[in-house]
Amino acid sequence: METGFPLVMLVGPVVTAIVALALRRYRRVSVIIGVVTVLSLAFLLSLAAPGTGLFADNTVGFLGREAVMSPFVRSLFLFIYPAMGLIFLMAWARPVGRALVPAGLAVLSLLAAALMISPAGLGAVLLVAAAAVVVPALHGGKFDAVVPAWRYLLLAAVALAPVLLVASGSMITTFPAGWSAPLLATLILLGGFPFHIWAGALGRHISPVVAALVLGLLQLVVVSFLLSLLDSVPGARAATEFQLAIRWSAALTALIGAFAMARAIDWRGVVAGAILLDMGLLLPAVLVPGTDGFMIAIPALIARYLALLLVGLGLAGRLSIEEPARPGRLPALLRPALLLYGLLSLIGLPLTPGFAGRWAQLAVVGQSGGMWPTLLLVFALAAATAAIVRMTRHRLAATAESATIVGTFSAFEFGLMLFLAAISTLIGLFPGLLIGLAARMLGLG
Amino acid sequence: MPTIFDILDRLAFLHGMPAVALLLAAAFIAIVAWDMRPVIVAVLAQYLLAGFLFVDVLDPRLAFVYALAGLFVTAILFITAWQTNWGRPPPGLTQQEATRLGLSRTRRLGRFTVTDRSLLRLVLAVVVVLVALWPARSPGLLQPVVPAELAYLEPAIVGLVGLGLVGLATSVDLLFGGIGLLVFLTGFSLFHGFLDQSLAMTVALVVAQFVVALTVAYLAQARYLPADVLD
Repeated sequence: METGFPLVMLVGPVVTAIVALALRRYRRVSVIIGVVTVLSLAFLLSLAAPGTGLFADNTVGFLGREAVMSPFVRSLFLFIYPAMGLIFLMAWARPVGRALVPAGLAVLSLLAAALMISPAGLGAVLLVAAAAVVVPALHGGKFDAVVPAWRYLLLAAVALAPVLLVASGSMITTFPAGWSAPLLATLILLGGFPFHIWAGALGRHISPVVAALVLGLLQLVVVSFLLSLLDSVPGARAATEFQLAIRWSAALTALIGAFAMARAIDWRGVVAGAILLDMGLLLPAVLVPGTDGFMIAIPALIARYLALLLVGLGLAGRLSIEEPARPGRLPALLRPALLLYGLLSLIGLPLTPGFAGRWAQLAVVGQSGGMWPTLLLVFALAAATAAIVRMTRHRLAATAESATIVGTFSAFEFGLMLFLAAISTLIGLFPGLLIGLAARMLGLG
Repeated sequence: MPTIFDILDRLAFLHGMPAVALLLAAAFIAIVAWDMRPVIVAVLAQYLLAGFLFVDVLDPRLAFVYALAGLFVTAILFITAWQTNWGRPPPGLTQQEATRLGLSRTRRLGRFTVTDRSLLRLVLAVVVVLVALWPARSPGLLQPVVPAELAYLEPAIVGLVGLGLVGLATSVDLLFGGIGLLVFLTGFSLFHGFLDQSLAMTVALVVAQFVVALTVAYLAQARYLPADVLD
């Protein structure tokens, strides 16, 4: 058995997850354990450049199978570890369930294994295990979150079948419709119509902070896995039926998201619809082979992660009736501003982080796919923007009538808000930053 | 102490179509029954029979591991079902509470009270079993993955996958839906056994079933018990 650095990535988070689980009653202690773990892992990983540096060995062998840390996996986790730390810090600022830190740590190990292990079939099983590990975090002690968490696990497990068929290559050589298994795997894993039920329900009932973990960071690995898998079956991707189905599924998912936003009666509903819209717009990335597909998907997913964190801070946390709102004060304005900016970023409007990958996604749909899917996507974006404007006006009017109820937050949470606002504004102003980050991850920059 | 091979010799009379027919019958009961007690027995029978059929696909020792894993999965489901009142909703629910739990309208059929959803499940399950028996009359549906000499396994694969999909798509209760998912995974594992017979993949698929069973147990309890008990 070889003992390269990947062993630290596979075992380290699990050990600290067990400690965090044992101490989950002390929320802030478990947050400290989580943050220290991910920062330590990020530091060690930065020293573990393959072939050079302190930990030169980038492989680990176990039971005859080999897990190899490629430069892309290393770069990806150099982003994921600190990003997970930020999610844990959000758990310091506001309660988002005791399972978040242990589940977040344990899932890091499974995600790393899923990308590193060979063959891909084993990685698919590890992704199902990762989906199962985050279920307690999705549930978060809320009755209404049980069914969405179940749907998420259910579809992750059902996706195992088409993914394994693609990984074994059987659908390509033995069945006439070789594109059907790759198509099913893609639509289920990315929440595309008609398998969007897990995505919309999650957005509605779980905390945006947990959503940033499951629909942001976890999806980064899932999408990377899927794009690599599709690269292994170029024939499927080239099939006209596959391309047509993906384009129409993207358009319909986005339309359903926009429709949900238009019908929403509260911010939660708007957020759920916006997530669905963003998931629909991510789908076209799978049509582009090689690193170009990653270059579209990675900025979009990082932007989604950031947007969900902004929304998480923007949605009212603890409510206080003692402290009346004082118009003009920065803290009183910051929360709704973050919520609005996060939502606009999920839609992908200009000057928001979400804009970085949006144009490329629309361009892919427009290439040789007829004009209707593109037009429907643009219509969905316009309808979503209108829904946000409508809800903002409605809420402003409601706030003016009952200005005595405001959300309060600590200095720490305020600092976190300012930090995220600064980062997001910077990326919004310079979308090339995210694209450059993705290029560096892929070894292109 | 009999070895695995001694046990297989004694069960030789079940080899082939009889085992497939019994497996489909067990899976059918696991999907359509509305009380967890017969469902658990049917799930156990399904895993043991699936393990028996795996002998024709994998190394017999791996097939035995699969059956053994089925025993543990059934134990997890049994304990969970016991703790959640065998899948029955809590007594004395108001209309509002029943709606929140997603319970559909009930109707009386003689001595039985059934929901619209369970009737739909029954009809779909019958259709799936009939469709699954079609390859038994004209084998070759899954060739060349399933070789001609093992074509009797085709009804088992199609039936388990189909019944599993019916179970997971038509159940509101997480335990029943979870059993549908496990039946689906069993059918798929049988098919995948022809594609990859490696130790690693077999163990991985068994682990996937364990993980699903544990998560279903957690969520079923989360739906039934107060949150502080889970914490």
